[in-house]
Amino acid sequence: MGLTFTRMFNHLFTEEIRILMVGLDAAGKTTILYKLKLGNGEIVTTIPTAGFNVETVEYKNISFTVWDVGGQDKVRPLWRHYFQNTKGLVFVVDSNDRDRVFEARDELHRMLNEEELRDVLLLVLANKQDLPYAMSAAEITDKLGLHSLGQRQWYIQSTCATKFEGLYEGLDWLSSNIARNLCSLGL
Amino acid sequence: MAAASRKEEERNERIVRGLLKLPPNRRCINCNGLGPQYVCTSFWTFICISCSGIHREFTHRVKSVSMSKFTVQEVEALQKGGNQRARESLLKDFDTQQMMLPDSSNVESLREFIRVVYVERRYAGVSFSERPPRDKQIQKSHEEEHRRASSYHSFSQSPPNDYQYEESRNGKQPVMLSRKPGSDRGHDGNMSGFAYRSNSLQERISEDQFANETRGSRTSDCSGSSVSDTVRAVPESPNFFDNGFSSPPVQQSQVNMLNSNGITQSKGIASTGNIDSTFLKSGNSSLADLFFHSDNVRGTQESDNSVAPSFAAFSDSVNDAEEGLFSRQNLQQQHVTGLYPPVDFFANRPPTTPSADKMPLQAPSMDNAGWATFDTPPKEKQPGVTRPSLVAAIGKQTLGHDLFLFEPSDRPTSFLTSKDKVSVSNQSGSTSHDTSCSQEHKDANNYQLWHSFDDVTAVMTNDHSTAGPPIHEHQNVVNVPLNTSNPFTCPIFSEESHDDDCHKVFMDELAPSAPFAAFLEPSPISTAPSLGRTLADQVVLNPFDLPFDTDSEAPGLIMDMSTLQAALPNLPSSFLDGLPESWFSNSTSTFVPSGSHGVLPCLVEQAPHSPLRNIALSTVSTGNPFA
Repeated sequence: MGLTFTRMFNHLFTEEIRILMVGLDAAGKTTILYKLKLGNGEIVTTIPTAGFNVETVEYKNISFTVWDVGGQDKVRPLWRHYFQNTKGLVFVVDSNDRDRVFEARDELHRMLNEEELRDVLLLVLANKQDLPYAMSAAEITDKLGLHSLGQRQWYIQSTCATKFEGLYEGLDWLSSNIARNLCSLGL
Repeated sequence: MAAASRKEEERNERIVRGLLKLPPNRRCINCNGLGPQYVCTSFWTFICISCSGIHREFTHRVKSVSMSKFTVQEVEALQKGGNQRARESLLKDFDTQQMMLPDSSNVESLREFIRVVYVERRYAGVSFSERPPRDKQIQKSHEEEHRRASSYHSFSQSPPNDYQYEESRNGKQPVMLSRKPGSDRGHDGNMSGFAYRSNSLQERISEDQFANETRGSRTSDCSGSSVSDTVRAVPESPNFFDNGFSSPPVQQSQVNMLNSNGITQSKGIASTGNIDSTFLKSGNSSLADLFFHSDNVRGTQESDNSVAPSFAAFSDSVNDAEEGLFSRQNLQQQHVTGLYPPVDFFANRPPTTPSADKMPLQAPSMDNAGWATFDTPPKEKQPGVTRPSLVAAIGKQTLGHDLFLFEPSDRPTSFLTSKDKVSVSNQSGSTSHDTSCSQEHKDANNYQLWHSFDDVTAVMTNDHSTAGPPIHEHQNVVNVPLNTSNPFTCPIFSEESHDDDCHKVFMDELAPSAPFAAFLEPSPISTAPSLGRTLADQVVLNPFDLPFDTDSEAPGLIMDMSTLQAALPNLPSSFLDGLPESWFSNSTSTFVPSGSHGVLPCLVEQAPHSPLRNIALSTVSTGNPFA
């Protein structure tokens, strides 16, 4: 009994949350992951992810286990293998990639239709806001069709991973809402 | 629909992977790294993984070949793009001699390079004033790439290429080669495919060994390349014990064939790889092609048995198979073959020995020219090329070994065929029988001769021609197989006709280029004798021998000569319109004048001894490249 109580206590105060970060290739997922992991000082040069990267990021007493899965089109079918037990879905969009924003929308909606992701929080990161012709968060919201998501909790945050802008804001929303979710579930 | 789209995807991927195998696309355009697996869709270039990361920093689009699907439009754009075209535009003014491509391990330099090239486009110059330097340096590489590309194209369609490619990578290629020659030799297309494979192997090897260096060395100064060549040459030397370079496949085959020989052969392969790499710089493919061409020639010769027929066959086969893709290389090879005969003549004829001595001197120059010819007009080759030529010579030797090695499994058959061919071949056959005391030795000699001949031919391709008499001479040479094997040692070992001596001579000759000498000295002499025998055995065994049996044995020598001669006539037609006939008639005389440069004394001394003569010739040939 004591052990169980301890576990529950720890569960509440040092939450381990499994986060899945997906998005089209070259959206900045790996950069975001390692920016979160290593902090702002590090210059992150990434290569196209084959497979996945996983790191645990401690933020506000929450341990985020962030799975960063390759976004190249051939490996996108593998995303579903990471759905299980995922509490939050981070969908990274290249705000400067107007050509593929609809491709991103399709991928997003296809994913959200999966049963395993039924209760998952959706955090959209409109990345690469530093680029001159980047779409705004509002524009991306529109083009991704986020308003049609109905009951799902979603949040869009404009970010610039290389400048470490917007990342913690996104985590803030995740942590607060996940905590709320957990509370609402009686945990 | 799904099936159709999948088919289309597969087709597109196949095309992209095919494009990846084009010579210009086999290396990262930025860092020259081997085997790029990413496509920069911003510039339609093929880049390595580390460069893909840097490109992404600049918001350039990057797609993985294996992880991405390519649309038809992308495939078309890639087909219209590729590294070659990107280099022509973005790196138009990039002086490879003065500027080195960044190393893939140096992220900072890579980043700077990509910024300068793709963002600032500093080298996408338009001014024609800068052209001359380009022509000398960059264009060469371009030409090489073009040739390779074209060659690849020609053969890319044949499924075997891929297979070979893979095999070569895995070290199985030798086996493949040995098998294919036997079955497919009769066909030009097969031959060409074979040649191509060998090239790919060599390229692979060279790339593996010199992945970082090749680019720089190619474009960079000749001296730099020469140095690398010399280093590479070392492996070529019979004493290849130390070579870790030797391509695994070759070694395997060789090991199977002959224990001791396997080592040497492997080294030889390694050397060939080196040669290829060096040629890549100035004409990498050309060397490899030469080697392979020689093989092809041999094969053709075998079929013909007689020298003259072999000539015709050689020229025809070479031309047919190599047309388009290897036209230049073929020409060069032909020249080389033509050169061989002259060398033999000199060796056999005492009076000509002086000329032979001269020949060595000329040979270097010639080699240089020949090498130069690969990239550019033969005679234009720079002095710096001389070392490469030596290397090339060594590489040729090694190549010869390799060729023979490839055929190791066929030993018995090769013997039979060689004998048959000997009988068929007019003089060469007789000579081979005379020397038959030890066919293996002869084979070994032939090997060496081939090597020497190759070298000589390469060197002499420009000037020399082979005449009918050469056949006899060739026979003599065959008798002196050991000597021929030691062509490089000719002057020093005039008295000695042993492989070791030859090696020593070679070393001495190489001495001018210190590195060569140093390399050669340690291994060649001791290993040379055993190697020679083993080589001979291997030759017999070599799969190539079956088709090219004549090559391995005395007839093979004759055949080589004939092929060389044939090549000469062909060469003249291609390079020098009227030269071939005159060359044949004046082969010795012409040879003398050309060879009057430097090694004459040694040759003269050796001249009396057929082996020595052979050596002298070989040395001459080798000397030429090195000179």
